[in-house]
Amino acid sequence: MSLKIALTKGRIEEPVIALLSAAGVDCEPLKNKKRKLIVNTSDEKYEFILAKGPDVTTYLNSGVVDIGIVGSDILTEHRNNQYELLDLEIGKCQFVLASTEDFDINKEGRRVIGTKYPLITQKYFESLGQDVEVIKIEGSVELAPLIGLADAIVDITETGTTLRENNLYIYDYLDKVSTRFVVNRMSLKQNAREIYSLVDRLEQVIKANN
Amino acid sequence: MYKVNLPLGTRDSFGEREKKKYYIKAEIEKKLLVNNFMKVSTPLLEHKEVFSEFDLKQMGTYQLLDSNDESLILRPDLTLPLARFLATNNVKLPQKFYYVGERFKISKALSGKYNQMTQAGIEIVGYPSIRAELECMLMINQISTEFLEGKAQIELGHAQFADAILDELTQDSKLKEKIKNELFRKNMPKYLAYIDAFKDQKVYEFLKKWPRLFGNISWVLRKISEFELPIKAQQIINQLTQITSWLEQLPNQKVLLDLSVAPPQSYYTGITFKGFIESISDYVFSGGRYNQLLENFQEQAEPAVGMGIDLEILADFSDINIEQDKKNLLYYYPHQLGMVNQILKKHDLELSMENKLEDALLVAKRKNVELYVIDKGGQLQNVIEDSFD
Repeated sequence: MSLKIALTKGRIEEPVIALLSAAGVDCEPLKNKKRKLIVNTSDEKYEFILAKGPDVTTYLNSGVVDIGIVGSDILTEHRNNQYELLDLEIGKCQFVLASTEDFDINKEGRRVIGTKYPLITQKYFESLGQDVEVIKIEGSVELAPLIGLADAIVDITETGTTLRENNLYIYDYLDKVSTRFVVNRMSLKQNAREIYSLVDRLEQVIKANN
Repeated sequence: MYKVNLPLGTRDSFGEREKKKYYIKAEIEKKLLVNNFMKVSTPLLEHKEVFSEFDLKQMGTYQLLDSNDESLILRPDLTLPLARFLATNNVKLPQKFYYVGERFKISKALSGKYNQMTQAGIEIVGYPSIRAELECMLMINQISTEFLEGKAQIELGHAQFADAILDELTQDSKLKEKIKNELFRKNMPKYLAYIDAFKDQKVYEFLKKWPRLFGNISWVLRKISEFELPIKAQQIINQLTQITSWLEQLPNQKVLLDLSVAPPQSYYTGITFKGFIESISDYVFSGGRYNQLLENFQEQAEPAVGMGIDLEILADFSDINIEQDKKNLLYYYPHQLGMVNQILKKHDLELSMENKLEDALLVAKRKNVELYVIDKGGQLQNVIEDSFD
């Protein structure tokens, strides 16, 4: 039986495939997948399922996949309780608090914060002893302070370019984010040898890359 | 129109699945009653304080207020109510108890998980003997043989093993908790960061391997043979090895060891055991020894072993096929009700609901069963046989 791996679509797809290839996984079918959402390796050892990040955690929790490759931002926001076996050290970015030039975090009153990550935002402001109003935004979070929807945003940034281009400034750095290799708890019990063999090979590649 | 959709996380159970669940529940109860277990039914509602062992916010529970504005909770667990029951009802101990009932935990909204689950369980209270654990695991084997084609594997652990290792390592209780927490969650990036403090010590090699110390017992023993463990940890391993050899005498019983597993609840103090079948992402059985639990409700602690059985998983994944016998029908006139009562005592018949005999005949032919009526002498007469004549 092949191991089912849910892989987050988009930004991290390419570096993950490179990493998996270097670890000896036959990724040719993945590279040529076109619009297919389920891709089997030719040796039938692995079955890849392409999905959005939050859905990867849903698949893992329900046990329909054995492994998930997904960002730590999503794992924290969705309170992951499956086994996080490896930091793949790709897709690195960081949570930041950002806003327009005139933003003052210590100004009197309750701030309004726009974010895709309400849980992480709430935890961060709780640690500062501040109560804020959080507005959940699904995309282009940078817009929120520019159009007057929020006083500031909590979002992830890789290089800060988008923030700069939209005249936003970073006011604080929160947790760092990277892509993680996560395993369903019962699946690890049942497929320990196969899963750890892949983990060990990936770990060697990551060490060599560093 | 009334609101017709169910609250999130709830479901109706009916038809084949409900029949299967009812059958399994009845068979397990029968087995327990024969073995002199006392049935205890506690209310669905309890005072919030009964569950102060749990982090209720994290767990997600249904809470409401009674007429005195006191917080009540829909029980998320059935062991703590039983401990509360034992502390307040002067029940003679030692004693073996069992329960079957509903428990409620609010899972993440829209995740496809259910918030109300039926659980059966046993609690063997007042017996310090290993026989209490063995009786639970024998039951896992029996239920597995009866309902899961003998496929349930038992995973053994010990609630004190992690402490036995970490107590020798550091006095820093916060660091100990952090290491334990990440070990149990198998969050490797965080776990590795915490054990980094012991990088220069001999024990570091063991700490690195620890999260992987689960599986077939001979494999685990081989892996740890290269390390010198604290005496207490070694004693635990010896005990688990011995129990494994006893369990392997049972038919089809596969036994695994997990030295990096979290106990099912924080109140466990001794051996823990869980049962699972491949390709299901939850445990079917989960239990162990908790000798201090009663202390939370009364002055004196009692040795106790308990085990929960997830009846929802058994109903969903059991391979049993409950064939209901086809029943022959009895068509009667309302004035014959007294005779019907007498006849049903002697004959296994289903009452026809049709108003007219010819409709009842059609139904019987469609179901391929016999149709009887009561003749003037009060005797049964087969209408279908007669209709062929």
